[in-house]
Amino acid sequence: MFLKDSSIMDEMINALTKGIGVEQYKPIRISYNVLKDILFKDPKFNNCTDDIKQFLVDVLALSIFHQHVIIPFHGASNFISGAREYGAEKVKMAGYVLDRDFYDEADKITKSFFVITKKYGLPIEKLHVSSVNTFIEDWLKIVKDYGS
Amino acid sequence: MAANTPWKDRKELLKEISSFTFRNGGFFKQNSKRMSDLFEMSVYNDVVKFYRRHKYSIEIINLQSDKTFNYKLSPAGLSKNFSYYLAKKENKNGVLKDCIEIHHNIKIQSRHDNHMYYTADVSVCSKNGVKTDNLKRKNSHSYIANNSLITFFEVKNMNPFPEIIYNFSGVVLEIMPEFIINNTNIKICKKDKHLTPSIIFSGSGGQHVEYISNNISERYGHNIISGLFINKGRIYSFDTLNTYDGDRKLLLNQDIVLQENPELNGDNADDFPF
Repeated sequence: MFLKDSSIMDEMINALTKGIGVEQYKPIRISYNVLKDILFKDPKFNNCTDDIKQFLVDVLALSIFHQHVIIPFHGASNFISGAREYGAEKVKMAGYVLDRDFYDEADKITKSFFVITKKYGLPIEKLHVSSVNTFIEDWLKIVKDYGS
Repeated sequence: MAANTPWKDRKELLKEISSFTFRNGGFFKQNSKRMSDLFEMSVYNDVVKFYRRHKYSIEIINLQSDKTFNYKLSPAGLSKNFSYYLAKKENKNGVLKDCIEIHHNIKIQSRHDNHMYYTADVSVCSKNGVKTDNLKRKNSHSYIANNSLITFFEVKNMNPFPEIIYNFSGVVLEIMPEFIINNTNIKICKKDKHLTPSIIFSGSGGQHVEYISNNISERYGHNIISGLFINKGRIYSFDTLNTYDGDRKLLLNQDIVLQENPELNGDNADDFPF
C-alpha cells in the first residue's frame, strides 16, 4: 500500500490558483490531482526525504501552471509583437481586443514569472510533465547538482 | 547557481508566488476563456516567421482602417471579413516567384470529396486559394480548395500521446493523402520552401511517444513538433523540420481520384449547420 503522505502540503498549488477564476482553476487542479496521485505511487518519489518530496510536489504545481497559464500568454505576446511589425496595432478576437495594454500586461506577467523561477534555480525547460517518471528523474538530478 | 533554492527557501518562494497571483489574478480571470486561442496565436506567428526566414516579404490583408488585425476564431464567417497574411517572394529582378496566403481557422476541402471539410488551426495556400460558395440555405462559407492547399498545422496545448499522433495521420490521409499513399513522389528534405503538414504540441511526450513521432515523421514526412514550452512557446528548430517544394500539381493527378457524390453536385449543394 502506498502512503498518501499527509505531511506533503498543497500550499504551492493553492497559492498559484487562488483568485485566478474557476475556468482556470478547474483544469489546473484536475491535472494536479491526477499527476500527484501518480507521483505518490512512484517508488523513486517514496524513497525521497520529506523536503524533497515537498519540492517535487511544488514543482509539479508550478509546471502545470506554466503550461496552462504562462505559455498561452507568452504565445499571444509573440503574435502581437509579430503583427506589429507588419502594421497592426491591435488584434481583435471576436468581441475582445488585444491591444497595447494587453500586450504589456501579458509580457510583464510572463517575465515576472520567469524572474521568480530563475531566482530559485528552476529551469524553464524542465517545468513540464511529459511523464511522471521523467519528471522525477529530471528534478532529482537538478537537486543533486545543486547539492541538497 | 541561483541564490535561492526552492527546497531551502520554500516559504519565501510561496510568498513570491502568492504575491504574483494576487497581483495578476484579475488578468488571468479576464482571459480565462481564450487560453487555447492565445496559444494557437504563437504558432500562427511562427509559421509567418518561417516564410520571413525564407526571404518572403510579408503583409497583412484585410487589416482594418484602425490597424486592427481581425483574428478568425472559428470556422464560421467569411474569409473576406478577417485578416490574414500574404507572403511574396521575388527574384533579384523583382519578378514574382511565389505568392502564398497564411490563414487561421479556415476550412480546408477534403482531397476525397468536395463537400467534406476540416478546419486546421493554421493553413497555407496559394494566392486566391480561398473560395466562398453559397450553401443551400442562402448562407455562404469560405474554404481553401484542396488543389490550392500547400500545407496545414494543427496546434494542441497538451502533451502528445500515441492516439493523437496516429489520429493526425488520418487527417493527413483525408486532406493530403499523397503524403501517406505512394509518398515517394514527394521530395521531402529539410531546406525546401514549405513545411509539410504538422501537428504541434505545447508539451512533450516520453520515450515511447518520441519513438512513435520519429517513426511516423520519417515514414510519412509530416512533422510532429512537441515541447514548445521549452522555448517559451516558440518553434525553435525550423532547420530540423520536414519541408517540400509545395508543388502538388503532379501529385494531384496521381493515385487519388476525387469522388463526387451525385446527390451533392452543383454550386449550391452544400448545406452545413455552420
